[in-house]
Amino acid sequence: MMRFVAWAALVFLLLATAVGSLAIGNQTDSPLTVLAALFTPESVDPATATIIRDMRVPRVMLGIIVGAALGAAGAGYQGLFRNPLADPFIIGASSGASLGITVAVLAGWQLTALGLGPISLAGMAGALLTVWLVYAIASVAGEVPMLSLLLAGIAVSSFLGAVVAIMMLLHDEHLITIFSSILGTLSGDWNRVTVGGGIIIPGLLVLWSMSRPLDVLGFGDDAAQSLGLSLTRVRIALVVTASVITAAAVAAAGVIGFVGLIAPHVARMFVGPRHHGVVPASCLVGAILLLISDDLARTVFAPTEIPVSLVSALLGGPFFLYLLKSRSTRWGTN
Amino acid sequence: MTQLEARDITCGYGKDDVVRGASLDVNAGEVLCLSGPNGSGKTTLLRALARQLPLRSGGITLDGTDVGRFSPAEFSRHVALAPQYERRDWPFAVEAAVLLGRTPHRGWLLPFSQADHDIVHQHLQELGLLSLRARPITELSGGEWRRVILARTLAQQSHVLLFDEPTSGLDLKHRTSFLTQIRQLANERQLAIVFTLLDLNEAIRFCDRLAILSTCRVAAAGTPQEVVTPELIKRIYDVDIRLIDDKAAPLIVTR
Repeated sequence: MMRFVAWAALVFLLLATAVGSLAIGNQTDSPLTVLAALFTPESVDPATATIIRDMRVPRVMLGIIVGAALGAAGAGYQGLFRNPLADPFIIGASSGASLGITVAVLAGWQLTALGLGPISLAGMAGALLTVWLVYAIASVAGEVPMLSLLLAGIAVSSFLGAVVAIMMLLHDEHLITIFSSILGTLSGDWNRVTVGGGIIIPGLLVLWSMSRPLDVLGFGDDAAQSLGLSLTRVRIALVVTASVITAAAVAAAGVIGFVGLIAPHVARMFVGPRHHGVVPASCLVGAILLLISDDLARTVFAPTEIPVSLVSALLGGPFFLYLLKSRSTRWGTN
Repeated sequence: MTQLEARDITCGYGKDDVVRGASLDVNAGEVLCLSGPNGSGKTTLLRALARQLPLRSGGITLDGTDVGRFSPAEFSRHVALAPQYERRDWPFAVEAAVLLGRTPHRGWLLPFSQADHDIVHQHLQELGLLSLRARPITELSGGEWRRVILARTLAQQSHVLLFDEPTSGLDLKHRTSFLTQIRQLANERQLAIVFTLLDLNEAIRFCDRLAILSTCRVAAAGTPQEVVTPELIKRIYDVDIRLIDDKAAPLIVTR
């Protein structure tokens, strides 16, 4: 019963946030107008209906899909690394994806008929190559200790971040294009929604199917093996899935931090620690967080729109520090 | 007839061998105890038996089949290991943690059945954990957490159970009842059980056979009465003892 209430609350919050986000903009409409525009468009002023249906709906859909992707990838990485501070950035997936996207932009691939296709593929290749590199650096005598994996991820992340910055400076004619595709924003069209969703939604289902291995990994390697898990196989499957989801999210909306860090923690408060609940709940919470961040990004300095990644960092930074102060000590001694 | 047999195995970490040329076997219905001084290789040998450490030489067979031939899930239905230390990253309820012991039978996706819940309930009861079933494992004391690990391992219902220092951190009541229980399981369900134990008196009382490890090797093996002699204890532990003849089993007293 408690669980049902928690799920109902999450779904209701997401729907309410989505309707609210559809109402907010240069011209703010009432939620009733939004619902009317969605279900009976002929009853609404045509200009308003067009703004809501063709401009705001894709934006909100993108927010939901990308937020869900970041939240679930965060839950996957936190479970895999047994680290409450892990998120898609720690392993290097995001910086790898942004490097791949930068290369794609500089090569001019963004102009092809496939639209988002080549860029998201380059992002995915970048994310997987980075994760493979991090794994190769971190592995010691056939094993991959978690601490060295985290350290290698941070080091490679910083390195790739610097490479991306240098590439941007050297090609300042593309600065705006790269900057806008890496610095997260949800402004986009249906193309981004369908291409991002086409990769992200199957990825989320695959990640969800690994809930039980994620649970078992929480007992440590020896116990997980004793319970029949092939550690190498499970880790590779988790890393590949979470990285593909991350890369698709980066390709669709740029690099957006901290949603993947916060969402799983909030999700656990709602639905408890078991991953078959945490993974989908992280999707819902991630979507809600990203929509709220985007609403703030659009409205606080209106009419100037700031990148949503800055808002999520402003909200997430203090949360990260709070986690560091309050939980990591207990986590460390376990 | 379940039999786990290690022949002449050598394994270790890094450059050093921690176990060298060890051979032992355990049959269905039998309890084998590994004892020996700190650092003599008990845990390493147990991990090797659970296929968690690559062998440098020698081989391990289960019912005559090389253990390397089983898939991880298949092997976990035959052989279960309760490690001495375990992480508890997530605050699962006690019952949910023990339920994960059924993973080898359900894989990644199949939901746990009523039968799984019944098995879990039974083992929670046997280990005195029923009243704690809803508590988060992160809030348990060390001894209570040990009992949860033991319950989860028993719920796995493998034919061969390996326990690393199962009684460490348990109070007198719980250690006695646990050892009595696994003794009973060996007899009634014909399980093969191996545990490591530092306490020789407990080992003598509850095992059928005792193997003493010393400096990476099996120094002595046999029934407790055969193995535990003042001479051997003096040689291995450098401690003088005398044996008191209890009706059930001899009792060691240090001088």
